[in-house]
Amino acid sequence: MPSKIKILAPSRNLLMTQKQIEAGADEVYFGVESGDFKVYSFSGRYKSMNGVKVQIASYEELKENLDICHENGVSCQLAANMHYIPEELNGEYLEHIKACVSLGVDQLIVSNISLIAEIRKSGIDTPILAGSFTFMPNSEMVKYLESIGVFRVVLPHAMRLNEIAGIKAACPNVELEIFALIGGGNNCGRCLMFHSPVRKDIGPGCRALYDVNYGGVEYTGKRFLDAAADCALCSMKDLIDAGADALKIVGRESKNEAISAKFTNIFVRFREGVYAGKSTAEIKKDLAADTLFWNMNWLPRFCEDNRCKFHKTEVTESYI
Amino acid sequence: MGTSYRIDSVSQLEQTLEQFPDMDCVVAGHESCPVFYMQQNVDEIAKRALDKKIGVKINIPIVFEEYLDFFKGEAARLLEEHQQIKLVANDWGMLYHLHSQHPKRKFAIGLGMSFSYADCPWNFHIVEGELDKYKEMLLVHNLASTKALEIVKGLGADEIIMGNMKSLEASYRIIQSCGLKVTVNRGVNIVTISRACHTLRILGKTSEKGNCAAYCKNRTILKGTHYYDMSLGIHAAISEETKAIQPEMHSYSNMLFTSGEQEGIDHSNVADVINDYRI
Repeated sequence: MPSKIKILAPSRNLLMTQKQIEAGADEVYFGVESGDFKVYSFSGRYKSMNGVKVQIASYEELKENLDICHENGVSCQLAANMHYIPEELNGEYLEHIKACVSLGVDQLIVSNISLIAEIRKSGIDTPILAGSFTFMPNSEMVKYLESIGVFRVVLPHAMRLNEIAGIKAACPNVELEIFALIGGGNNCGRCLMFHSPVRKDIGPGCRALYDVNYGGVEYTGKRFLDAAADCALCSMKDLIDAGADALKIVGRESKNEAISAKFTNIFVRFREGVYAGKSTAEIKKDLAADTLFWNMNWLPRFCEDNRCKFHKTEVTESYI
Repeated sequence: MGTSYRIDSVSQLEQTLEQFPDMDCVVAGHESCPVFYMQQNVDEIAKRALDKKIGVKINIPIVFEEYLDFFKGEAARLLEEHQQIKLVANDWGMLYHLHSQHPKRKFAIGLGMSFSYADCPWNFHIVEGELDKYKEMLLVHNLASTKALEIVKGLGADEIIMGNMKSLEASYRIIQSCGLKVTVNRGVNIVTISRACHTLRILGKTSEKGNCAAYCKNRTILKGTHYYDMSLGIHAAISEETKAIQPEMHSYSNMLFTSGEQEGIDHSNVADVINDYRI
């Protein structure tokens, strides 16, 4: 019998890791502070965002997180997915990875093809998964990544179910990880609209309001770039059938560790329902019956705003 | 230094030839929209340009899986029917495929794969507050390392199309010194590429997809007014100070870009410029 689809949850400190484990996560991913960065990090994300530290603070703390995960049978991914590292920083980047690997990190998230090569050349043989910033819209790219030793890929936000199935058919030995919660309106790795760690009112550019002048006609307050599809929950069975191996929940910068774990637990409970043969409607009814979080947070944020990743919505209908 | 022009119709080719009879090359196709590509008459553009002894580059757009078979076939056909053209790959998968099928041919890497945060004034804020030694990580072109360029050359690329920014001068030099040709697109600096066509969505015209190229001809300018606070789930006004650093942006099919040209960019390591004014 094939193993269950994995649920991968974010963490940024020991409390969040504990909460995610209690919530039922199979895998946890985190970034770790290193060097003397003031704003950024090697994990492809900022040190902090809106007052929330996004990285695990030290290698000592990393060890605590790894120990508790491994005691509970949970795998750990290190986010080392900076888009690009100039050659003069290669040494520092590799030393950081080696330090984390020596403590027991199970997998590395890397998002640059030349960095994958550098990591292997340095003798680090920890399994590598190609992060979303690598951007792999088709099976030829996945084949290429497989040829350079990648074991799993994180597919772009805006994939269709038939495309996921097509990639799986073409590359059956590569694991496919799907963003299941919180998306982005643009192609990962080809969006330069970075949120700002120093200017709160930059925000995610794809979700901002814009005044638009189209052919001389003015439109005000438009969510012009907002093609973010955030939620794949109801499509879990379809994703399993398509060959997805893992579902990724975003949110290292989530302000409340317990709330982040609630998102994870919704996915875990939904999965239980799917493998028990329940329909989506039945599972959602169960969630609505005894989960205040579902009614007060999930429904308005995702369902009522039509943020479905794999259902027909205004956003998915606009996909080219 | 060669001079190319981005062309998306036969009539535009004729007009451009009349105005700039010394042009060296046309650049057709599209970096990111397969639907726009399919509405061009790429073959006729190529044929007419080649007849006039003008070079031809064709952008194969970023190919999502459902378009893969089509563009594999399209690429094979173009290379067979128009031997002299050069294909421009805009995603690694297509480059990998092209090289595996045509190991002796050379390809260019397009703006779908070639970028830097420094390309776009939207990102100037990113380096605020960071140590100088790490700023490079945020400013340098994504392919400007010897290892990345080795990989790129190993996959059959001999040319990289890049944005046109003063901050990229060092990257031009690095790439050129590694034996690849640098081509600079003068007109546009891409900010984002999406799977979604924003124009069709906002106009409520997604049903016209496939017959929609005309909507891209209208100039679309965006100015941010409110940012989104993810933690609160609300929109709030962008301050005047932040508005001042955000660039005016233009939307075109599923791309967002800034346009215009900085002054005094050193093109001594640049082999070719593409004139591309999509607005």
